Amino acid sequence: MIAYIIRRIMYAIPILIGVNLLTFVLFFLVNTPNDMARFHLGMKRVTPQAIAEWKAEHGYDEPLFYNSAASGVGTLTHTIFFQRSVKLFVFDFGQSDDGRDIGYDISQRMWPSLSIQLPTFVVGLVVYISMALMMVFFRGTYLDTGGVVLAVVMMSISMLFYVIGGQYLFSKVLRLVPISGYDTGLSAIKFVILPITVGVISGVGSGVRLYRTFFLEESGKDYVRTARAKGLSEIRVLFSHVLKNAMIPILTGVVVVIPSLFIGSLILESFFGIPGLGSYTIDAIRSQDFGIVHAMVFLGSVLYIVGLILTDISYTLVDPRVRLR
Amino acid sequence: MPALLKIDGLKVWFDTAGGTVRAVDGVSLDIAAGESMALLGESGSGKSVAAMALLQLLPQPAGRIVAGRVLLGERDLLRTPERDMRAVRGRRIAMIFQEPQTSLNPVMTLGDQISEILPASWPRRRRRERVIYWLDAVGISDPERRYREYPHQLSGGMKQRAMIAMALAGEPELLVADEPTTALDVTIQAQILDLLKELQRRTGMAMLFITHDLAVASQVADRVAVMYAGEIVESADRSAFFGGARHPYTQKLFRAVPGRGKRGEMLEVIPGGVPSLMQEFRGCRFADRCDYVWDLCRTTMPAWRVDSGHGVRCHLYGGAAGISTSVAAPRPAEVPVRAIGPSQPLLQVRDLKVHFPIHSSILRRVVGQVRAVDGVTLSVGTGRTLALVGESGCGKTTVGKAILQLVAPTAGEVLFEGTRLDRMTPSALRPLRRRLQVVFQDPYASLDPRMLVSEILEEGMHAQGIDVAAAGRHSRARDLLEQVGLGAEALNRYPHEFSGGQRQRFCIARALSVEPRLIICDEPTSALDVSVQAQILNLLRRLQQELSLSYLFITHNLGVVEYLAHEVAVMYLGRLVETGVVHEVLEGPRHPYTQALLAAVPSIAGNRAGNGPVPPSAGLPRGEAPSPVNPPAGCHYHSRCPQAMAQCRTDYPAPTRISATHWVRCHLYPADPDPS
Amino acid sequence: MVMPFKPVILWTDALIYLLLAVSIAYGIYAARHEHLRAPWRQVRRNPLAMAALIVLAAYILTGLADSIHFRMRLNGPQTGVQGPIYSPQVLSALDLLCAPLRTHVEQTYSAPFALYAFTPQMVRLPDGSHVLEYPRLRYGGAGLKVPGDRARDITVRCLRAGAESLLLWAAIVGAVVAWCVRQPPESLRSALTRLARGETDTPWRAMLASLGAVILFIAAVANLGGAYHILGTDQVGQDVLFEAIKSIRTGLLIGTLTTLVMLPFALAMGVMAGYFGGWVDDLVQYIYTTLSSIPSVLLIVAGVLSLDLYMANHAAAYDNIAQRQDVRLLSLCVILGVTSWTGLCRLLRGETMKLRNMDYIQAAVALGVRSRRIMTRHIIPNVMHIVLIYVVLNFSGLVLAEAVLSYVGVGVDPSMNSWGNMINGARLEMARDPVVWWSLAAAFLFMFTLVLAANLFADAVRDAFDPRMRK
Repeated sequence: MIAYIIRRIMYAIPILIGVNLLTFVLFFLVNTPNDMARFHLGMKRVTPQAIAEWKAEHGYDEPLFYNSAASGVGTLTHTIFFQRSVKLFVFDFGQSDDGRDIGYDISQRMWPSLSIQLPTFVVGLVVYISMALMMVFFRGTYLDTGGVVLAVVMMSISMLFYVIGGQYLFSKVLRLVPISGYDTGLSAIKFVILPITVGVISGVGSGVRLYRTFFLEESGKDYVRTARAKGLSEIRVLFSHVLKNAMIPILTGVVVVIPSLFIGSLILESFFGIPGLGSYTIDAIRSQDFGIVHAMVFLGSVLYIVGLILTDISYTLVDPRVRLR
Repeated sequence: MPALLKIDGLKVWFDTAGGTVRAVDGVSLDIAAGESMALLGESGSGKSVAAMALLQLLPQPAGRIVAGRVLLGERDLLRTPERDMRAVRGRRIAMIFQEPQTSLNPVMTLGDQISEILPASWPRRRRRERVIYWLDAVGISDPERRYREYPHQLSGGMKQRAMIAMALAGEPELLVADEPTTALDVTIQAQILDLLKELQRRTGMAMLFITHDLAVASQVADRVAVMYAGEIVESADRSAFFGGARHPYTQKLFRAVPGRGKRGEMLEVIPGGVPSLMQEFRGCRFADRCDYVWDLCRTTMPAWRVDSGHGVRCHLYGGAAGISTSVAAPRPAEVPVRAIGPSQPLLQVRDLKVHFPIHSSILRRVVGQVRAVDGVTLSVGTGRTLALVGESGCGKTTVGKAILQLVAPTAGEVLFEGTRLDRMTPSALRPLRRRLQVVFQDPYASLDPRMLVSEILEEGMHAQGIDVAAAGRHSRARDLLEQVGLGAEALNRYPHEFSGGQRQRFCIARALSVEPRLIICDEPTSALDVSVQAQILNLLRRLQQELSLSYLFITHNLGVVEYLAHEVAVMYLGRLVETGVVHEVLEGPRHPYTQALLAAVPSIAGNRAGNGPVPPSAGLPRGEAPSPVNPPAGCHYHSRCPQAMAQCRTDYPAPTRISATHWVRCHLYPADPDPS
Repeated sequence: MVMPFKPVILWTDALIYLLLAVSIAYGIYAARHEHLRAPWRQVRRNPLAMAALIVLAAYILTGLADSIHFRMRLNGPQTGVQGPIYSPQVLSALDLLCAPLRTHVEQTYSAPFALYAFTPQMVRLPDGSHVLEYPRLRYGGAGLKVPGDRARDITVRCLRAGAESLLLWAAIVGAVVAWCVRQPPESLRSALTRLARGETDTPWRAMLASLGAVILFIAAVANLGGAYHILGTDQVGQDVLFEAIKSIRTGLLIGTLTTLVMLPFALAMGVMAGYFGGWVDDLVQYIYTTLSSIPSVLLIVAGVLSLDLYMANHAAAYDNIAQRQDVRLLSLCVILGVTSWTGLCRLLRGETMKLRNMDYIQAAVALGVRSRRIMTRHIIPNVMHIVLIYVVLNFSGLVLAEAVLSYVGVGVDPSMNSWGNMINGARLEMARDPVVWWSLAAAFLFMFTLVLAANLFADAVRDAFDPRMRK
């Protein structure tokens, strides 16, 4: 198991290098550091000196990939790619364009993100699975059909409307919770409860529908017929046979996102004014801060790969056929 | 004897997009306590549907029970509410299914799955003891350990034993076994049949045994009922049934089974296929395929007539003179197997090995080898048939694919007409491929569902540059269809419009389209019903005589071997254990494995006196074949061989020559001093 | 002879025409192949899917009308220039059709059917003093003599719209009934009964009902749209209904072009990886694992951000608004395509690996058929159902994604008509009291209808084409 995890981590390194290269190419193929400086200085006529100063200040004053001026290892290390990317592998995120320590910002901002995302994830999973199970239990009845129709309607509504509708109803009309904002400690509850509710409701349509198809697919299998032939009750068949097997496809889609919960949700956080990583990213996008976006891309990939490894490990918990070697 | 279960006029219909399928259309059947009843029928006859209907386990909402009663004692099961049915399922009527691979829950331990059927009120320990008792009773060794294991840790035969343990743990009065041995190898099938008979004797339960195999039915049944197109056409005691079947359909079935004594003649063929069950029948359902059909058969449904316990549904037995004992059947034409002397070998395989590396899931590290084929030497002469016989997993299919270069051989030589096929580049190989063709087992998987029949037949001609002009290819495709006994109207249709037998004819026509010399037939009939199998076997034999084709016939069915082959090679775990001319091997098998294979084949023991089922077959191999990842040291078969000696565990036996054509690899026979 | 207009073909227009051609070619191909015709027949029998298709067709026709672009000839004096001069403004056929909606621009916000502006304005009275009052709208209800006539006027126009649409609808119903009576021949009475009970093979009842709704909507717009702002106006006084209609093209383009752009890559790489295995498979797997490991929003962000910078630095090349919008939209499609092909590629790779071991592929190899031919003749036709299901299921997700991305600021050009931009613009006005709700409502209504119709249709397509769904 441990050997397996170590191998998986080794395997992740070329992927992360690829991610970095891609981000770099995306940014610097079309925008040279000179272009960036000009954009950030924002003046029509910028002196070469001002550009050079800006570049030096923000660490863009070296060649991109290969420094012919340096010698030895320096030809590779004294480059923007090395300075900006390789350091990421030891989680040194560097500084943002306005001079803040990105690593510190991330460590501060991931907790608000988590306080929204984790409850949304857990509550959502429980709600979707139980609703889907109920629909499968009543399959073929009006409850099932009505549920499917409702699910399609709900998944046809943009998340933006759930957010706007939720804010309008609960904050503006009913005045139950503040419209946006965040606080530390227990007093955060009144701020996070609405984003969590909206997050869960916006996923009901697709979640319920997906899990319902998983359950239906499992309940058509031979071993379910065997279980029924044993004289088990339908509830028993559903819970101890169908649910157990359907956990395998459910986990495939679910576990991989767990680590990414740290990253937060762009929409929820920016609408509800949560100072998490989602709104951090949006702010960075709006101010076109390469440093932060780059760091977030890297962090996102790392967490995704962690998610993949966790998925494999979670299989061993629900599927006795899987052994990690 | 009072009936334990009484099925009366059962009708089960399925609503599909195309219309209503009357899968079971008026079935009546009695089963007495402790009796074993075989329900015999080909695929689509409705036998499994009838069984599922007993327990109200039909797939919902498509299947519905339209009419009938199923009386278990006084209670009508069809009118029993779902709540009360639960007390019947598993406890009074238990069921085992065809596919042990998929019928067990993969994520639950055997112990948990079997305990589920025991009363929840029992303390855990008591349930555990009971489960272990039953695991032991069905012959699963080390039941304490197996109790905690998952289905994937068991072999196929073991899984079926576990299924049986699960069914018996409820101590049912009736066990419904739906083709329980069809997915298993012959040696395992024999073990399971013995087990079922033994358990039935011990527990006194009744058994409804559903099968398509006449021989299996003759092994297990006290009584036999034959189903055809949704109704029962004949039912009788075992001895009466196998002594003299009455319905023309049953008679034909008997004559369609290939086997010894039928070598010289064409097999009896039931023309056409089972009629569509979407219609309302007015006359006899078998009329279109029957040799004795007359007007009455097409207009009036024959009534069920019983004479001294032997029931039949046929107008032939409705005359005023009473039931005639049997109707003489016309003998099929004699077609002798052409006596061809030893000929130039067309295909020679020397010491062929195919090893598949086992990769770890990450980084592709090779962690082991599956020795699928581990040194096979054989040759096929012009116009002759070599049967390669073995159980599933022995590597016989891989031999075929390696000869065709569909998998790369690890070592050894494949010579075809003197040319080495291995080590050839794909482009150099391409023109040679037209000499060497293949027909696969599953006619449903071997035709592209997106292609017209004409496109399928012309593909090879196009690839091989035969008849470049489209018109030429078209007329050739028509000729090919005619050659395999189908009309040209099939050309512009899709494969899914045809039955399995017709599809297999397309596959043969496709192989013929490039004018091959040798066709590798990989179990071409094992997915087909007996009556259709006979059609295909007859076709293959006719083509061999007309075109002097050679066949490498890969099969597990020894009956087919007897009918078709000139030479036989018996394969076990990647290696050949015995080769020889067909009568030498089948009549004088030397290797214990060959002997076991032959002993395990259920035979239709009709002429035996008495009414009891055949006693358990003796001399069966123990257990199941080991994994080709770690074949046992020495002789691969020693782990299952009843005659294993010390030497067998250490040395792999050298070939022993029994006759000029008969070789065996076994320490029981002194090795040839000069194996040249 | 001088043309009154000069056609303009934008990049996205060209791609739409290409898509249209591909769809028509597929339609002809499908009609000739039973294995495709049968599942489509199943879709055709599904009442919900066919009703949804009518709605989709209305959207698609609107989008197509909005994809015929041209520049009008200016009739001004031509000094020193040879030949006609064309307006720099690029218009579409839809703009002409909706000319009243397009040209009736107010000062700023106004509520639906309002006669007066939503925000008060300083008005200078003749005596020189200033008064804060709600000015009368320039176009909204301009035809009314007395403001009190508004209710009556709207009722009259609604009735007229109802009557017109009923007439047109009745004519179509008549045509359908005539068709039903003819084949196979049956009595008018029984044809009508079967139609009314929804027992026809093609679900005419559902289709006619949904067609009736579409016609009624168009008639209402035609009768009311010129005289009032049915859905109000936005901050710069644009008619919100017009904006919502113009956004249809954007939504459709994002939903379809993205797929069109990525399809060839996903198909080629997925099939090749699955068929050849070995290093090809390793490479393709590496590429899609890398791409999918980047959170897709961030990859899109990174892509759009660099595009922004590039366009800002090369502003001269994108001076024409229509062209700038177009390039931005197309790039967004490409970037979305890059992030969304991995899922399809993975599916296709898996399916190809399964097919590769099918007996009919093995038989083709044994016949000496070349790899390229096996892939094109056997594998691609047998994975096309996956592609189709993926495309239709993906469509609604992409339409929804556009709104989110535009909201985040990495969507289409901010000056372009899109539902995302409408929501983004209206979001800030939620704080006002009374609320400016109509922009949001309009975007919601149009988007929801499209996505719901697409989802319903996609479900039917999946049910018909997915072999697992069949019994």
